[in-house]
Amino acid sequence: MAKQKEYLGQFEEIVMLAILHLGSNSYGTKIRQTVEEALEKTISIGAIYTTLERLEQKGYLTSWQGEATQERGGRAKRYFEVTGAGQRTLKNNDVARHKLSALVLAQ
Amino acid sequence: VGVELSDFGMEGVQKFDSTPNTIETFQRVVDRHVTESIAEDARSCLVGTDAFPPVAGEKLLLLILSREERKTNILGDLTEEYSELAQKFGRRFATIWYYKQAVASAWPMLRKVAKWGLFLWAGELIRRLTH
Repeated sequence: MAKQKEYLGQFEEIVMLAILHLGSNSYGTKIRQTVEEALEKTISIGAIYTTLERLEQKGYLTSWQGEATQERGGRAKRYFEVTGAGQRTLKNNDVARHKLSALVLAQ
Repeated sequence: VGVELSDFGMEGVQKFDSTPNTIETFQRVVDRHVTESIAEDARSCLVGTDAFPPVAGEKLLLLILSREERKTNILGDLTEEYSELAQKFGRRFATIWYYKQAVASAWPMLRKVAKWGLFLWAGELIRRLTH
């Protein structure tokens, strides 16, 4: 039996798009700021990390520890990157949305 | 009387009440430039060394955040953004923002704990009622 297609929740999709947009500079603060600007509402860093950890567990993201800097109180940054599986799932969401939009517009 | 500072390798115009001689002009320009530089250095020192987040806010997050890795990431990100905001809008604004973030970040985790606590309590209640 073929594996069922997987889809992302709305917030998960926005976080993944923010990571793709930021490229090699995608870590907590930058992701939070990008999502906040896009949604035009306050987003907590806790909500961002809860989503990032969930997406990483699902295999849609990969992360690695970066350098510790003085302005972060000597704490290291954690960088995130979208995996191949993550990109396929993003595409699934996009295709489903377009199909449904076309149906609505055809009415 | 306005003197163009571009003659001295700087931008802007220095105003004088009366026509200045060259030495007086040069002295005033140097004084202003030095004062501004010292003030700027003092401001950057304050921001660079003193703009750390409120200790109580950090302690609240350390109490609530469970995993060591999450503590490092979240506290590091908040410290970085706090420093940026303190530089742009002042420490008061940055402190209020920090506490808002700390409470908002703690809420989803507290809710999860409360949910599991409620399940355990309900389970215990059912067990007692059926025995």
